[in-house]
Amino acid sequence: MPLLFANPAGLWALFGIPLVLLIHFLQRQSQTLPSSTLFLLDAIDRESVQGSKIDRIRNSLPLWLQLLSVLILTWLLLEPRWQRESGVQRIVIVLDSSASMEAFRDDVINSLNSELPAIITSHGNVSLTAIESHEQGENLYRGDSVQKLTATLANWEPSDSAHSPEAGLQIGRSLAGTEGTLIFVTDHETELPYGASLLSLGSPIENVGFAGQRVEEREDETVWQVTVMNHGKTTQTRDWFLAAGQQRTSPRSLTLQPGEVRTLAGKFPDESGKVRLILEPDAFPRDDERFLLVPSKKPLLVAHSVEAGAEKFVTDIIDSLENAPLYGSTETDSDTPDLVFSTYNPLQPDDFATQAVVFLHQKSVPRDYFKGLIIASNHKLVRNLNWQGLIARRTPSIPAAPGDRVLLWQGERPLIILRLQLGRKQLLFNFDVAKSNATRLPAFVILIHRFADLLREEKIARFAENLDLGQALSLAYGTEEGSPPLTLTEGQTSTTLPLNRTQHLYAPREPAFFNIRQGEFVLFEGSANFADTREADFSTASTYSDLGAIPEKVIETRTVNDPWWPAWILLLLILSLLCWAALSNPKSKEAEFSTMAP
Amino acid sequence: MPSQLEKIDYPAIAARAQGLADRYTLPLSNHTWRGNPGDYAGTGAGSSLDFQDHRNYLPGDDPRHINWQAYARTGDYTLKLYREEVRPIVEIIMDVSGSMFSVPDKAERAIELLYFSFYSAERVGASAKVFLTNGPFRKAIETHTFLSHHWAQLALQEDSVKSSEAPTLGALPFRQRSLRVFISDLLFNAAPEHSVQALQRNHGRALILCPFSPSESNPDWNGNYEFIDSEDRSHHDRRVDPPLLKRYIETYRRHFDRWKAASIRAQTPFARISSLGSFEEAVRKEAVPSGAIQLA
Repeated sequence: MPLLFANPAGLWALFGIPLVLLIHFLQRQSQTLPSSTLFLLDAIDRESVQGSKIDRIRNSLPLWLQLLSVLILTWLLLEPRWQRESGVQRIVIVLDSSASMEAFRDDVINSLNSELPAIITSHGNVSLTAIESHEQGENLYRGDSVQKLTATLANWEPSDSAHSPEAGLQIGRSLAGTEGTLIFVTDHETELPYGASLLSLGSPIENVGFAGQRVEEREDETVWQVTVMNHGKTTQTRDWFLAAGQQRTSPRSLTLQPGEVRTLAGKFPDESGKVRLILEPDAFPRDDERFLLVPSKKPLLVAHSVEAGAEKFVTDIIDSLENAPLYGSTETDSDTPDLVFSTYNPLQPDDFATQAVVFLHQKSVPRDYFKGLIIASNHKLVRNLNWQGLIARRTPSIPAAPGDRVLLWQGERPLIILRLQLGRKQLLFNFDVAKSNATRLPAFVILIHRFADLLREEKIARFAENLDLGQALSLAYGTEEGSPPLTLTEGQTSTTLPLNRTQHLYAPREPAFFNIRQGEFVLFEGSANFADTREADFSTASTYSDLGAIPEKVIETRTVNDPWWPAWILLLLILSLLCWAALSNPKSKEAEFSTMAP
Repeated sequence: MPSQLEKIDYPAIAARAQGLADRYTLPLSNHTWRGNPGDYAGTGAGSSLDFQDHRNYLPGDDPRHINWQAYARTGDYTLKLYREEVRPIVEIIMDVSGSMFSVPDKAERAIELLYFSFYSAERVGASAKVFLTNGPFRKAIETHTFLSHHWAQLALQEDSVKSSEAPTLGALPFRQRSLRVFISDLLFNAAPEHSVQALQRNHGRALILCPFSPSESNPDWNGNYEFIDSEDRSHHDRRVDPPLLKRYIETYRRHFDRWKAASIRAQTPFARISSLGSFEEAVRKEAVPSGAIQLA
């Protein structure tokens, strides 16, 4: 069984050996004596002429007893523990994958290089695992080499937003098991669950960076706005400039008081609609560059065929939709509109358009109203919308069809229905909207906008957007057999994404312009920017480590006490008594020697 | 050279030795000697009252020694021979090596033996001569130099010799049939037989008086010591513990056992004389019983 020492500091007791030797020699400090019989001494003790010091040691029983006592005492103080036969020492390191850790990556590598060997008590039988703390984080390393682990971390790029490490720690604990070691590496002090040990390697950084952005239309011009924030505790001055294509402005100086936020604004200078704002880099460069483009939604071709009574609010709704031209008003390859607003008269039933928002409408409606509780279903189109003020008159119902999903009920009457037919969606208002107060309810307008956005998402068309780093991206693309794969282009780098692996698309984890194409068709133009100002604030970053207690815990769980410790103590007592007896009775000492002598 | 020699009160020791010589004497009476006429039996025929032998008359013999009674009985001229009486020659060889004076009591006892030997010889009318020896160094001391105690200065002038180097006894100009009193602690590394033989050259008779200090024969060493060699003043670090001390004492004993054995084989009186106690107490232990020193 391999041996471990629970208290390596016990090795200091070995200094007792030179101490005993020193005391021994000091006690026997040389006396100066004249001698006329040295030739006799030489004759009987020629070895001591050359190595008298060794002989001094060799022939002193009390000295040997004391040295043996020191060795036994050292052994006891080292608290030897024998490793159990079975088991692999599992060490799971959960690395805080929030973006702020990028500033301390080298510290993490250095610290793990120095701290882990002290924790590893089972050489050759250890399992090292490194994972990111984000619930969607990556498995960074699995193996048994600290060097390989840290080499892997050299390429690690933490870029997640601020998040709770609990999910990562939970996974880490399940990987480590109850007896394994779980270490959370971050840049600030925090309370940790699951018996994790904390290794915090942060330090306050005077960081200045872009904190936010906005692109808006003003008087037929597209204007960008960014905010710059000084997260530090001292006044900071930075140069910044704007770059568009191959051109850039001259640097301008910007001085910010601690905590000050300054807004920079301007318009997009050229046709490309892309600008880069670059701030003088500091220790945390992720927020020192901002990529902006003019966002644009997918065009949604709309048409309406409503009766006169509903025309006004339908027109108002269509006008409120962004980038939703009327079918036929613009050049398009599409044969059909993307969304048709229409009315339905239950007294004169007719078919609906393929994708439509249908309003029940009849010329004369009863005076009484629907009664009963208004209940919305758990669907994203109506989530968090308030319909309690809706007053609708009782009318005949739109006939139900298979695949209907009722979004809103009042009593037994379905008021709003989402109908799916052949992969097409229809939003049916099963009450006379024109004769109700629905048009004055925000929920009504929002629902239609949500529905329009739902259709946009499913439409295969180009759109542009400024995204956060790693932001999830919903993209519609051709899935027919033979469709080309998607290609993500980020600067000069292109990555092909097979269609079977594009269920979850994310913006790049580094600030950049990028686009996604299918074949030659550009599906998306976008930019990815660092957006989590919590991660840019290093005021709470600090250094702390409670890894020092881990070896003791590991030893306790993976080893057993030396079963012979009572015997060692007894032997120590016996040696002490023998030593005392030898020192207090030189004659017996001499006798012992004579019996010991060959 | 031993600084102890400078601290010795020579006149006091000499005076004490003179008194001791009245009570103790060197073993001169049980042997025949050569020398000027004196009180001790010589090797040849002399004019003492002690009858020695008869022999036939030869031309040239003193006719006064013819035994006329024997001539009357036998008709032959027979001479009656009487023992010769001489003053023995005593040559005292004093080992002045550093070890002899390493400790005060031993130094005093050694010098006491020297003066005792000298005055003891003088007391019986012997012709006493003193040699100083230390390794290769040897020097004959004039009587007046000895009596004025200046001999110690000559010893002090001698450079240090190599540790445990044996005195060159064979090079000393001993006279025929003299008594050689060798006063030495014998702490040198040489075969005792050679030294005893050297002392017995020219039909001489040897006597070895060996002063010793209990600090040499039974030291209480235990621990680390910086020994200063009495001979060359060199320093030596040693650690002595009971086992080593035991072996040392055994070796020391064997060293003198060899000297005793060599002395017995050469019929040379040998006595070790402790530096502890008075002279009388010291000599009664071994010197008197062994005949090395006799009661007067």
